[in-house]
Amino acid sequence: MFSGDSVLINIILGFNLAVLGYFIAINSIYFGLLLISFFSIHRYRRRIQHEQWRRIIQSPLTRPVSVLVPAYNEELTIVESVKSLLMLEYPEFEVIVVNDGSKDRTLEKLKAAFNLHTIPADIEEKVRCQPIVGVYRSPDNPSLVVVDKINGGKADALNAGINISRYPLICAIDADSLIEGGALLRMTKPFLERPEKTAAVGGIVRVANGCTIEAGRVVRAGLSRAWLPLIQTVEYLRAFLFGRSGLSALHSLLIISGAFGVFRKDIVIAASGYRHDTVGEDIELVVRIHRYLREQKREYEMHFLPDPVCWTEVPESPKSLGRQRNRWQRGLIDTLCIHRRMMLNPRYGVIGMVAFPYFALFEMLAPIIELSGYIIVSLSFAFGMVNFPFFALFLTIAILIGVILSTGSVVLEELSFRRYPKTSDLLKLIATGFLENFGYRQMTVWWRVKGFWDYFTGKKAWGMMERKGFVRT
Amino acid sequence: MLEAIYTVIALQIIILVFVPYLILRRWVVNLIERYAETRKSHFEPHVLNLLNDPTTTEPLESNLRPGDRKLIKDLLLQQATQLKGEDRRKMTAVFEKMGYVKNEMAALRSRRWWRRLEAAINLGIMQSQISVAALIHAVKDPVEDVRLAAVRALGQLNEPRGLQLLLDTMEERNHWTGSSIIETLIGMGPEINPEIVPRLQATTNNINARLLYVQLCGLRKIAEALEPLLWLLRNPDQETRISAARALGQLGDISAVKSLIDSLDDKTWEVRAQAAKALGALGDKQAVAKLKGSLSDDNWWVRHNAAEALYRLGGEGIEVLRETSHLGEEAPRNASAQVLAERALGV
Repeated sequence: MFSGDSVLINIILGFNLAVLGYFIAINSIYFGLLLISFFSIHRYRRRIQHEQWRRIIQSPLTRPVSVLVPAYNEELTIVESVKSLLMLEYPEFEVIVVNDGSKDRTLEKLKAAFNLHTIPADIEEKVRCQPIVGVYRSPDNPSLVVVDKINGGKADALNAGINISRYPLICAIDADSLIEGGALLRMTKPFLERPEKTAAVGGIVRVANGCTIEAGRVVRAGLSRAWLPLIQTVEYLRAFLFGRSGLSALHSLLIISGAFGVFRKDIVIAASGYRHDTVGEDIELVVRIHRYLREQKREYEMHFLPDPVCWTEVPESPKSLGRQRNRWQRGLIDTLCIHRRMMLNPRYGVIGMVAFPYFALFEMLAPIIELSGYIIVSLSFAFGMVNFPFFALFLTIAILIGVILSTGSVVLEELSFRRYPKTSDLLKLIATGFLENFGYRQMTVWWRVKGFWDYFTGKKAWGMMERKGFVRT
Repeated sequence: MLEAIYTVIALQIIILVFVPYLILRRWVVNLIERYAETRKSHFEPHVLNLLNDPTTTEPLESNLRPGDRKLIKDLLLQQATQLKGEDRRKMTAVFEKMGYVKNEMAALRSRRWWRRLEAAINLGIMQSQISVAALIHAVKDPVEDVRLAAVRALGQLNEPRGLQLLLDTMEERNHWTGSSIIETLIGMGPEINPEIVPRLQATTNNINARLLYVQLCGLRKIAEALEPLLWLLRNPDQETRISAARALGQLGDISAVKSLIDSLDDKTWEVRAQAAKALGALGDKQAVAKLKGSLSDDNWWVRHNAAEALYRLGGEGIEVLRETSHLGEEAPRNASAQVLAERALGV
């Protein structure tokens, strides 16, 4: 054997060991999060089991909310979404739809559906945004405000919404999402109980594909017959029920989904609002709020709540899904790079010492390490360094752990919220947790690795998702 | 190699346990729910009958199956939350007669925090005076949720001993949130008002407590608080001035108009904005000229509240808005035009 070969073999062996260590570490963390989530969701369920929501509706201390809905080319879903939002059970709220220079008929559809009239407006630019060209109100729906502005991206549209909003809490949601009737009430409970400390609250996002929707409401949860949305249903359960629940319990929540989050407006404005030059404006804002409040040495709390539900339409085509995952990956990298000084910095407490390293090592780098693993294992085979039975066993363990984590999130769902009424749905979810390991998992790794490449080669675009609209369901 | 095989077997066993567990659990839960519904529909007419005659508890106490007492308790609680006055008092008598109050009082000493929480909430709905001592004890519970539920229950009971405890607890700094206590105090009867004003005047060194009392005076519209609030409107602490201006608007006494007009020149914009809003709520036309000036304020909230207030003042106020909406600088013009357009649309 040549000496060059032996060096290569040593590198491969070393890498194999590193991958094994990473594999053990990441799965231990996931199991830890799953365990913490069981306790945290159990406790949360017990806390709200006897809650008298009418008390919160009637309380003069319940703070009004401005719901911000950025809309770009959303003509298929916007009317249905706004109708659903106007039916929210909440004592005082306004729905601000920001038409971000749509090229389709989004604004015209809104005008026709809600009898909109243009009004003059005194607007203060609390956070930076592109010029607002029109403000519309509806005599039929006094809580609806529609803003028409020059296109500037989602973050810019949200900032315009902040500038026009009148209430102390803002709720950012996606135009293609449906919020459950009582969800806003549940989301604002921490702001009522700890008004001085609560900075932000995130809710759970669930997959709407396959659900029965009537008049802008999910009336029966169901599973999509298409493969990709079905797999994403399991993914979302895993990500929210044990990922975010666990991280929230550890005070390490770095992500509040752009599809459904409530923030204290004064804090968002003090932190300069949404940032325009990133595709991960939701995670970036949350990290910036952490940073701002820690630097100000203020006591604060951020929560993830597992039961205020936002239903969202997920991509059904690999192309759309790939673009979405690519964007999420770029958003994460961008945020961690922008705020890199927080990494392992004790000044930022648990965020700098736990959340940042976790997100960098086990979220951002995970696809790179997984892809490298696939390559190196193939090389190991080529050099005869790994025997087949061992390799097969390792692969089986990896898949079984994945299945257990997915099943764990389905168990969490069943023990707590039981949204899926059919027993066959439970079995489908578990089977999907098994099947996603063959093909889908590798595809997401590839999209996320491509996200790395695109980020470092300077790609900034958002990428569009084709919408089918909720009405068809 | 052997370890890996064992790991695979262990993981497979975990999955094989999980799946049948899920299916079995769902089947059992559905079965229990169906059974509970059947039993509830059996007891419902008897529960409704109690409103006519609270002594007819016999059908709810005889031939009971396991689990029936809890179902009956839930039905009674559900019924009680929808009742007021005499009917509510009848239900309290039923809870006491059937032993539910004593059960819940015992549950306040349970080792499980969620049972204590449930007991405190239920006792609030049951509204029995015999539970006051137990609830006062629960206000010192180690779990915050239980404490808050006990506080709310005492509020629902409208009990003087509970009131002193609530006010003392509210004044404790860094104890637990004052807003939950405020919320409880708002729901209590007018007899608590004389307790609050002297306490407001005594909070010279405790700003947090002072802010809570000011908020309480406004929300409860305590007329006796007028003088102390006018005095606090000149306090060096800006949070106190903001709260006092808000509370004076809620009080609805036009004697506060002059002081609030002066507050439109306050150096803190939040005070100016609250003063403008309060002047709109008080509805005294003396404020029109000064509010007109506030339409040119540098701060958006002051301009907006001043425009809203002018509209609420009607006649002269609306005339000022009409004039301003056609003339002068952009900011006051837009603020006036916006309020006029919104009101024209009825929004």
